[in-house]
Amino acid sequence: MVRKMGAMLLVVLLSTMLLSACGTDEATSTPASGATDSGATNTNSSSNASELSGEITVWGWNVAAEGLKATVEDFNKKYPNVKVNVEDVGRLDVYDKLTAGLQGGGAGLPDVVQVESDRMDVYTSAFPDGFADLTDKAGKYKDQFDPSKWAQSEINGKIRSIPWDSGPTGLWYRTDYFEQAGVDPKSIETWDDLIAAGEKINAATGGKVKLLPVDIVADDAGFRMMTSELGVCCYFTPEGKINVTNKESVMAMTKLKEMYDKGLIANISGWDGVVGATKNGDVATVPFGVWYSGTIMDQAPDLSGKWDVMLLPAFEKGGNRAANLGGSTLAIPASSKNIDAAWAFVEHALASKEGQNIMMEKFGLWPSFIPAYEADLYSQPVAYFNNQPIWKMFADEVSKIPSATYTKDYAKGQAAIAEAQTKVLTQGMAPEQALKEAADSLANQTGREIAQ
Amino acid sequence: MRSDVVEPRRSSGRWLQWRRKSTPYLFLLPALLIFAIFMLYPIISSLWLSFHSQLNPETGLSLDNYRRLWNDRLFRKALINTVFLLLYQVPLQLSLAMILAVLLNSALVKFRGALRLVYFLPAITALFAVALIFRLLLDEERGLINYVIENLGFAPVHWMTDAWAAKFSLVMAITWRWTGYNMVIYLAGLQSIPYDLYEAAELDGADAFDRFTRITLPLMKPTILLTTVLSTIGTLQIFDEPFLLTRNGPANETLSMATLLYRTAFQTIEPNYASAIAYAMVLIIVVFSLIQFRVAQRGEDS
Repeated sequence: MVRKMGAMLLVVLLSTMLLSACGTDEATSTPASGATDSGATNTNSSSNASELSGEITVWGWNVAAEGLKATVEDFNKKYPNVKVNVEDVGRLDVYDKLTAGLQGGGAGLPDVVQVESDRMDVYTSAFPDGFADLTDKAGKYKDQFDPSKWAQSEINGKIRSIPWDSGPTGLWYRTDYFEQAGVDPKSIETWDDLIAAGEKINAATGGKVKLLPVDIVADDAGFRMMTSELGVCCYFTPEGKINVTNKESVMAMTKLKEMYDKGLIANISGWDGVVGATKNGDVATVPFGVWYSGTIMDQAPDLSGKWDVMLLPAFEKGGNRAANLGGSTLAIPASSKNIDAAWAFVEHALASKEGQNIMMEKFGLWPSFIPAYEADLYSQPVAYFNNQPIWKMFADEVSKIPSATYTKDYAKGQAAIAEAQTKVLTQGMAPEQALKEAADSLANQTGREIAQ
Repeated sequence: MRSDVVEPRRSSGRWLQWRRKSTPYLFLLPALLIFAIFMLYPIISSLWLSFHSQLNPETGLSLDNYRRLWNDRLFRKALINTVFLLLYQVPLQLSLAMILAVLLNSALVKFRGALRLVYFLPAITALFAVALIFRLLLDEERGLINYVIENLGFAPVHWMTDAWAAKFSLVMAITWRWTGYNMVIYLAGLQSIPYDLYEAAELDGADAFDRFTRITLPLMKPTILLTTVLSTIGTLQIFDEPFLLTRNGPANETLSMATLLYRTAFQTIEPNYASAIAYAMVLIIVVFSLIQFRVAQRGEDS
């Protein structure tokens, strides 16, 4: 009996200990690369440039982090005593560490952090005071920012982050493949036109080149762009009901299925998969936000002149072709010991023409700060992209993007739609059925009603 | 030292006794403190969290999270996936490990040291690298495995989008990683079996198969039980492979309890509900382990 009890105790202890390693991370974990030590703290709250001093750490990812690094030089001309460390942490790592850090009362967090606009609600609902209230500092800029972006940063009347870039979408395409297949890019107006073009390109290249990349299992970016175009993004109605069974969502899913059934989708995995397909010439087009221009230029310099961009095709001739995908904000965790210096950095990077345009020119990060558009670069041709004035197209597109709804359950919506997409594309389930199941699953997880 | 000897004269005998008794605990104190801060506190605080609903914060102490868990289809799916994995993963990897251990323990095989190392290496390889390599091998568009399959004249396999193929990929990756680890434990067990037993059996005319089933297996029972319990706990908590390799896909077919926990805690930011999932996992693991002990004990009694 004693032995039995001992064994039982051992099992209980063993499993609890093993489990606690992953079960309670969210409560205590402190990210490895702690960056809270902001050095000398600026106690003087006056924003006199030369008085501001200390060290701040900034987290971002990919070209966004590169873009921020590019602003540091000018920033330091204004604020010579503030040392800025921009760290490229990686997108998912930023979110994981941010979640853990906010849960831990700000432990290990940087002074400035990149958060995508569509994720702001997820964080501010879980941690209402996790990000510093910037209302007093940033309020004066309200009229100068893209109103739709500003709305995503203003939570319950308080400004919790500053809009950074928008993601007007485009269809990035390979001019040489289009030429090879004898397709005139200008003739493409609808998704059906594009599918027909894709079939021609696929045939002309001996089946090697597919139309576009989709991360079937894990990402619903294609679906989101299409529903944004159709005005029903993202998963919920403005009243908060589940909104994935509407006719527009079914249309979007059906179009993806058509492409897959015709063998036009390259099934890739993760961000690296998209970049790989772009570099290796596995796909003729990539539908993505304007920010992808930076990655194409950065990753495939040898393809200069072979990429161009058009608006996404419409669902019917003459239909809307403007949509949004992604776009970020910069937030300051309330735990930052140097909020004034952090704000000065954010203000310089996002609320000044110089800051925004250096990131725009080098990395294709589309400013949310309206005065930035006055610069010449928006009308000038870009050598890499077939020498076309591609920024003009995006500038015209921005005002036509239908409004979208983002909620705290956005991440759940994404997971549910990725699941539906997998069922439709690879298991042959009807789009209506898969989306209905997604809606049921979301109702089960969120307690929300399903919109009729 | 000398002054230490002088000192006690001043203190009473009780003080001395107390000091002698407390010394071991003082030595234990740092470890206990670390345990309390990094283990005990999180264990208790997540239990506390699990009884507080984030969806209805005003209810205070409540069973909401557990009620939700009971009706959560995703959790049910994760549980089924994990148990399913357990049912074929553990027997497969343990029998493979046993076969390898017996082979590598026999005098017939050459380069035993090198082979042991080769089989054990996967267990100490960085998981991310392993997952990355498997992902490259299994890539549907450009993977080596599909390349070979196609050149042999078969249709390419949709490793990541077909439910069964994805489950099979998981099994492959996990087996590759953990077989050698269990093999080493078995090797240690095998080496503790006295050789005279085999000699005696041989004299009595027992063949190799008999020797394995009548001597090796019964004497290895404690070791087998240990590896079974460890592998069961490990599989029930499986995280890395489904997270990195199959990314829970396709359509949650490889979602495990631990990846669901992670997703809930970090991606949808519901730590309270995630804590409830963690406690459900503990309960399930305890139940499974007790069943295994019970089964093993029954075998002993008969």
